[in-house]
Amino acid sequence: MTEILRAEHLSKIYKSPFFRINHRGIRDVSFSVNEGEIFGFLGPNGAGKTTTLKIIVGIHRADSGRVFVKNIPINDIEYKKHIGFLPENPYFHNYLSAEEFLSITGALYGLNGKKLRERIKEVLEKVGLTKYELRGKRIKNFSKGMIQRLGIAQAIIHEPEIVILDEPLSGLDPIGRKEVRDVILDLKKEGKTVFFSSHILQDVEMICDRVAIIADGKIIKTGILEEMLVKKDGAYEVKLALKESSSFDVIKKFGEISDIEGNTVFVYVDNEESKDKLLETIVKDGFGKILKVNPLHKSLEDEFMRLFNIEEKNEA
Amino acid sequence: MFGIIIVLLMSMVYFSNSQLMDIYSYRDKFVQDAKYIPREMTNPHWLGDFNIIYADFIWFESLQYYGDRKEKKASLEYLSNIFNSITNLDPYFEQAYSFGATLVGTDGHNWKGCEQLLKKGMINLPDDWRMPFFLGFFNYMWYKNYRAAELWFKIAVKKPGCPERIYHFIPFMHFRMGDYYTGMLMWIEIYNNAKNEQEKKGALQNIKVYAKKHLTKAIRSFIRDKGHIPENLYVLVKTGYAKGIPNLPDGSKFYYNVVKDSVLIHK
Amino acid sequence: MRRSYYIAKAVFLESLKNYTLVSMIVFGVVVLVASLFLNNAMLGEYGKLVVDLELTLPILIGLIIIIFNGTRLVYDEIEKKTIYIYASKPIKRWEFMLGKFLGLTAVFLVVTTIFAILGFLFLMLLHIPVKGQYVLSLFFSIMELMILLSVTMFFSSFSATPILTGVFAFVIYFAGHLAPDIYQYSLMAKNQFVRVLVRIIYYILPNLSYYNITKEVTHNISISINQIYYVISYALLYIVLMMVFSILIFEKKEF
Repeated sequence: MTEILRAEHLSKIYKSPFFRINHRGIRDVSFSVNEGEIFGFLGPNGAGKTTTLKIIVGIHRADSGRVFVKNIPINDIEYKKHIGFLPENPYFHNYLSAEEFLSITGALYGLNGKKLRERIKEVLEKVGLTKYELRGKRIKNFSKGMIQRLGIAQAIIHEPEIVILDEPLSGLDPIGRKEVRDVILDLKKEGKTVFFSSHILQDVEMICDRVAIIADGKIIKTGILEEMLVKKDGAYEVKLALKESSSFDVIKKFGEISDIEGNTVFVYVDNEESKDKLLETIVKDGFGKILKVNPLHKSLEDEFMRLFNIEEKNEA
Repeated sequence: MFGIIIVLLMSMVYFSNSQLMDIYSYRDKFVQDAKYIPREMTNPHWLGDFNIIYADFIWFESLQYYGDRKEKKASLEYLSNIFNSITNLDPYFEQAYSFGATLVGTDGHNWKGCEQLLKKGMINLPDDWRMPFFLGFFNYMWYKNYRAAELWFKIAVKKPGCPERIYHFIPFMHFRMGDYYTGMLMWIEIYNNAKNEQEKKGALQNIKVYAKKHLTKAIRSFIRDKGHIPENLYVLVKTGYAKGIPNLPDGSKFYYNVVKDSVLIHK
Repeated sequence: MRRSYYIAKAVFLESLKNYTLVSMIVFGVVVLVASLFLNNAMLGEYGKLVVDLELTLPILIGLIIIIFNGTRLVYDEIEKKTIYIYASKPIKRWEFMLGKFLGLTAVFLVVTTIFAILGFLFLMLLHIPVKGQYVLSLFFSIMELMILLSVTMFFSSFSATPILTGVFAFVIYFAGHLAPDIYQYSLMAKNQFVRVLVRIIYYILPNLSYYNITKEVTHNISISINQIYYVISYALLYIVLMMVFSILIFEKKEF
């Protein structure tokens, strides 16, 4: 696979102008994105995701390090023609309509005339902003999901090879998330490379081919997400309706009672064997009814935290 | 929305300045302003580009102030301050000089302020005939200073755009000073340069009146000195009592009627 | 330059669509119409008020636009992070600043043109002769507003809030008109240090009093060609300097 974006040893430290206190930044961040993949950039809030992205799209200058897209260095104005960028929580000129806004951003890439008009139509169709009665409507009246999609539209209007999205799914309702996710997957289908950052693991897990995990300004791991996370299954929560409260002692042999509501009991069982035995006992001896058996996954967030903890221990 | 609110506020301020003065008893405040204005507010540079508009506003206010005070028969002593302010803000506001000076002089009874205003106008608007004319006119009307008035009228008639009629004030000043002969000579000049019959007729009329006055005065002096009447009018010229006897353009002659004791004209 | 044009277009479009332009023009028309009723009180100088308003209103409106829009021109982009959109596009920062400047200048131009046309129509209705010098005065007003806008952009490139910038702009406007008095003071001051200091202030401040020729124009005082050349070149120099400074600061800025 060919490499499309390469970041080499990026460092950036924010200095407070008066007190010389060094704020969070990033240290020695290197990674590369391959053509045609969806690359997730994962990390908790304040880890340096947005900083890295800002450097990549040229909003900030790195203290040191280099960025290339298709081997074009960042300080070349050509560079920006190959990338499309959607900032976090984008905000556009409130009083313009979607078409007007896109025609201005498109014009900045040298598109004009009929070509630009066709392209705007195409892009709006792609992000699904045509089905609404949107013609001439001011961006002020758009919902957050619509603004997010308009943001993607302005990022892809010049058909860039790589689309860089900063937290495209945050702050949206479930429907909005799905719509934006679909747009991202469509982009992949077209052969575009998508680079996006997120602090929500599920989003990344759902659509990314590869991820880089960043914490505290440093890249911890790069690779395929499933390989990085070790899943542990086997715990269950069993909900029972008991006939008599005397049977509590029997149940306690198999697992912990986590909650009692009258005759209804929640039991936490930590392996599959105990669960089978518990259910067998209750059915055979007629203690009561089984209401629900709920398998407990160890949460992805926990795994995520585990990764960071390992990192911290290594450092220590 | 924001814009509309601004528009409403602005227009409210605008109208409150010019129309709603009674409601806010604005005029009493304006009297205070009138005392205050000349010192601080009338450097036109303080107001950016709005000195002219501000001058217009004070102009309106001053007219209202004038009318109101006049009605109440109140003192108008600050009137000259107001017009001074206006002309500081807009030094080329001609009406503020001429009309302002008239009000200051007639109703404010402030002759000095009136004169100052007009002189200021002459400095700022050197090509305007109205300032010297009004100065002359007020000198004639109020001071009875015909010499000064004549000088101002002479300046006025040299300015571009000065109406012909202003010329007539100059011989009249001579008439008032008792120098009938010079006045008469001026009327002859006016007669010679007149463009239409009516003007000519008027000028001729004036020549006759001035000449009669001149000759009558000369005869009175002659009789007083010599104790007898002159043999004819030319004796007056010879003995130096009269400066000259004009040849009237219509060919008629002057003669002295002893019975009526007056100079008459016969065709 | 092409890209500056598109930024300018965005600024213009936005001020058109957020009713800034329309409300300002409505305000102006209201004032002009009101002036018709007061016109008779001008006695001998009939129509003076209409002419005065016509020549002064564009400046008043320009000032309001500068205070409310000009101070937020760059600030809003940074505050609301629209600048991220532009920063990731192939546009240089100086092109962005220039575009912003030109966009608002276009707004001034439109406002002034509309007032010129309206005012001339009013004058024709009142049978007052229209003088070519009115156009010169309006042209000077636009230059004055451009100078003030460039100063505003310079302040907004480093000041913390738009309100502060607005105060700066306001002070500079009036101080700029006081320039002749400041010069006089520098001649009169007894202390040598004060004299030099005041003279420096005089040279730093934009001399906006050059651009107030309303009274000369309304009273037919002629303006020499030399003065016009001088005033135009002064405006250009001042605007270019201010824009260069603000671009230099803006280039260094991190959002």
